[in-house]
Amino acid sequence: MTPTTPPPRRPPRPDRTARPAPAPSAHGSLPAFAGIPPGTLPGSPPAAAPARTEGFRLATTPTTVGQYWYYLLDQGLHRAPAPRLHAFPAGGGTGLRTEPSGAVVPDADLSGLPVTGVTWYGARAYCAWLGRRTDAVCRLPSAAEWHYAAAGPENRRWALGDTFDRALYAPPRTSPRPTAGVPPNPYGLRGMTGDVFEWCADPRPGDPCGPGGSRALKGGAYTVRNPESFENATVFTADALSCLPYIGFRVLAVTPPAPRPAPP
Amino acid sequence: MPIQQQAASFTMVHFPPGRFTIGSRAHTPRERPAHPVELGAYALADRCVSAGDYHRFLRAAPADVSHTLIDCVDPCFLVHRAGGFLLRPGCRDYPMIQISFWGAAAYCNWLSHEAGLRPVYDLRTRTADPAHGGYRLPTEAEWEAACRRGAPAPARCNSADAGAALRALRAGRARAGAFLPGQPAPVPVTASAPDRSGLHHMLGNVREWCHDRYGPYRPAPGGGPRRDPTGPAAGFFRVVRGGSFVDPVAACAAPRRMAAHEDTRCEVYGFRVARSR
Repeated sequence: MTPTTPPPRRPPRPDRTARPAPAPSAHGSLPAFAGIPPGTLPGSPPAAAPARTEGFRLATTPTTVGQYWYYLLDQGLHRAPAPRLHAFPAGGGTGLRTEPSGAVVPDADLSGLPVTGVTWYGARAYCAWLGRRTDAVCRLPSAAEWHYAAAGPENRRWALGDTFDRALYAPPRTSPRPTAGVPPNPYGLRGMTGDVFEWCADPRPGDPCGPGGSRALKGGAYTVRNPESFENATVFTADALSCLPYIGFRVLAVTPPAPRPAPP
Repeated sequence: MPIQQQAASFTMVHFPPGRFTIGSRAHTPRERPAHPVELGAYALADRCVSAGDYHRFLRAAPADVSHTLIDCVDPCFLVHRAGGFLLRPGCRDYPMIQISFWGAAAYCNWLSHEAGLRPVYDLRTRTADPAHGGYRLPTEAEWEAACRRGAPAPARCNSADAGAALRALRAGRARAGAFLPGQPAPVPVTASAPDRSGLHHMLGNVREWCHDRYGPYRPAPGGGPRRDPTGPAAGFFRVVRGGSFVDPVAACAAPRRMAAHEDTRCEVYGFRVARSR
């Protein structure tokens, strides 16, 4: 596979107003979020005015199997195949368990793994549901927002530093691993580098936006080897309807504007 | 004498047994020294396994391949959606790419099953026994002897230096897969006329996985020929041959050797199959 050419590395200029991230709750039914401060997004074209972010919140881990099944059950989506959204239901071992009472519940043993087998459209649908559920504006991050959050205040090359630690980012595996156990970056984000690729909002440059097009992926996965493939700046793309066991996603929540001070 | 392989688009070309020189002083230290080998009779596919060929395998035997052997991130010709593996439009005749050594081996085993032959590769233990007689990857000595005999014309080589006629056939220009127009990309497996042995695109297009693990050449003591050499007994790097659309034309030469980690799944690697006769 070919990464699209990484944009020139431009040190972002974050305002150092990040609040400490809340504790991760990968086994919770809804994602936990970390605050990402305002600053200049990386990868802006040199000629253009640098793109700025007013800050946002990003899920501390990729969406987990448990969180995704909570959503499927909440929406009744587990009852019928939805190939435009995901490859579920796919039988045992995919995150659901039938209790002796007959109740279908998420399988706790699998709940901490990043969910995979979800298309780009499925990832967007989850974001939209979560937004309605939490009364927030939720969406996929852009590749630039993802890069900015992963690189942290020190603009690191990989999420946890400027040297590639293969044992940490890319231990030999044939399936995803629970991301809650991975150390966080300074913003409190876990599993940004390695484990599973994460869908981002961007279409592939030059691609039609309709079905059949490709969308951006960030972060590398257990299926790739070269350290460059895991760099925060590197972007891959994949068919937007892909259901693959090495592509997941995480949710961005738009930070609500600060309430105006009441007039005296 | 070509034999049509029913399960696939390619034809097997037979090569007689004989004594050949492989290696060369004229390239890099990896090709030295030139030395004799003795090869038994073998057959080599006249073209690389195409995306269409590989897709037929995936549809017929989806349990035989895991996602760790094949990569479906762009610019792939095959994607994987909720319904399974799918050929992107217009991609059937391009070479199968983004396939690991063991992904290629899985295909060889499937061909063997289809033909009632004993498979050469054991994917569980990651071992191989060519004596089983089934389909396999060519040894690098077989590949080089066939390429020298066919003497492919440099003008038909889809290297990084390919001319306008071949560039016009590249996947990006044809909007096949997710290659971008103007970027280096593969051409269909029979885009160029065959060489004198009837083999297409031995040089250029995609680097071809060979059976052997990679190691420095170790000619037999006393200067005699090695018989059917298969490379070192251990290691994770395999020989790849022929150069590709990203390599300069000088790297696309019959003796030229490259190595790749056997788990690599990249758009510059493909393969063609072989069999002992």
